[in-house]
Amino acid sequence: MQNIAEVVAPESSMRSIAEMLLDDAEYVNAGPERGIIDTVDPAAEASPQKVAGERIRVGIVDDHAMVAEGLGVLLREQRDLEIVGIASTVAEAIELVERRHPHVLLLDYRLPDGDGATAATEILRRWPSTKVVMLSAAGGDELLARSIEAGCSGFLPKDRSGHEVVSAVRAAYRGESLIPTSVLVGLLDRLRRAPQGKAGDLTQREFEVLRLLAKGMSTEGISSLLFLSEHTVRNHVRNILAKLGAHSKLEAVAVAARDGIISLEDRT
Amino acid sequence: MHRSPERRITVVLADDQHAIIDALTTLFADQPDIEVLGAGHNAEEALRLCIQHEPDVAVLDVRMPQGGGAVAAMEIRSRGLPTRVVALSAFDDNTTRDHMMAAGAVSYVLKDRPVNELLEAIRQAAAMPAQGEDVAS
Repeated sequence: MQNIAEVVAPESSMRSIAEMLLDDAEYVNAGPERGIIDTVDPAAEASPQKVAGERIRVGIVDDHAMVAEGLGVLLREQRDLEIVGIASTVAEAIELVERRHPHVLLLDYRLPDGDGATAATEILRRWPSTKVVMLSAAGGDELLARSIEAGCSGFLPKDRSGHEVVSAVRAAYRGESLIPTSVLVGLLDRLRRAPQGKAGDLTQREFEVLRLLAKGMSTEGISSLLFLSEHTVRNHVRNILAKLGAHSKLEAVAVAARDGIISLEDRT
Repeated sequence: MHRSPERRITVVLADDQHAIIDALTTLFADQPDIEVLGAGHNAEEALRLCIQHEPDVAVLDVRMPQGGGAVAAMEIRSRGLPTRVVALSAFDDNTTRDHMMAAGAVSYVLKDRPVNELLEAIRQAAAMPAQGEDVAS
């Protein structure tokens, strides 16, 4: 109890609000406040691949319980979202993904046992289909660069509204990038990796897809615009990532812009 | 304390993390005894809301643009507003805590604690006499 005014919660409110709000909550890892809050029936364990009509499975990682609970409440109000777990450390985040297979993980950058980029790198190495959206109280190009290099789908400063967090989760799930162009442009010369893009290897079609990715278009949007199947678009994207040495669409766009393959100023 | 069961605790919130404000507002909407009158994202907005609404309690983030919670708390006190200040903080250090308490906060709640602790701090703060209020009455 850190408060100066002694706070004694009545018996009825001893359970945290997160527990009350999240169905079938149980703590693992023991500890009265710490540990992943499980929020789903283990029998309902789903594959990470979302099927039509199924809700987007979201995990929240933040060591500030109040923030994590608050985000949980906000997201839970959305019918298409399901909170599958809340964690407060890097170790718990990894356990959460392993056990709950969230489609989207909201990850606080600063955690007690490590930073978000390290956690994202490990999570995406083991579960590459997970979409990680980095949350950060203090923005900064360095954190953004590390997040992108780790393969995160997006980066959201904490001064964004609850509505923007919800939008970010949906966009990440759809595979869209979440970083505003202005932020991305400022980032480019800070990307630390030596240039290794092979723009010459991109086919005309891949170049076209890359330009549309830079405009923030989804796979679905690109497929309808170019009259291609989504499967074909995904193949093009895979080839683009391989040729540019990128781990995510976002990184591909950043690398391509840095190397002058595309211009972000054209985006609008 | 003169609050009847029908009279809800009026609250103003201030935090520069917009999502936190949105989340707390949503959470507090489910509390039958608490009414959020407004929310700001810096010290100036917090103060303006407190002058306008004279809430029972202001929940102020200690670190915000244009002066943190301490600046707003000092202004609330110097203007004689009947508002008790609950400090909300990501920083568990004595310097920040002492600074907020010296500025007039009645309690200091850490963001790594469950929301229930903030709710209890608000209820306890509301039960305290406001400045200028006759404690004996």
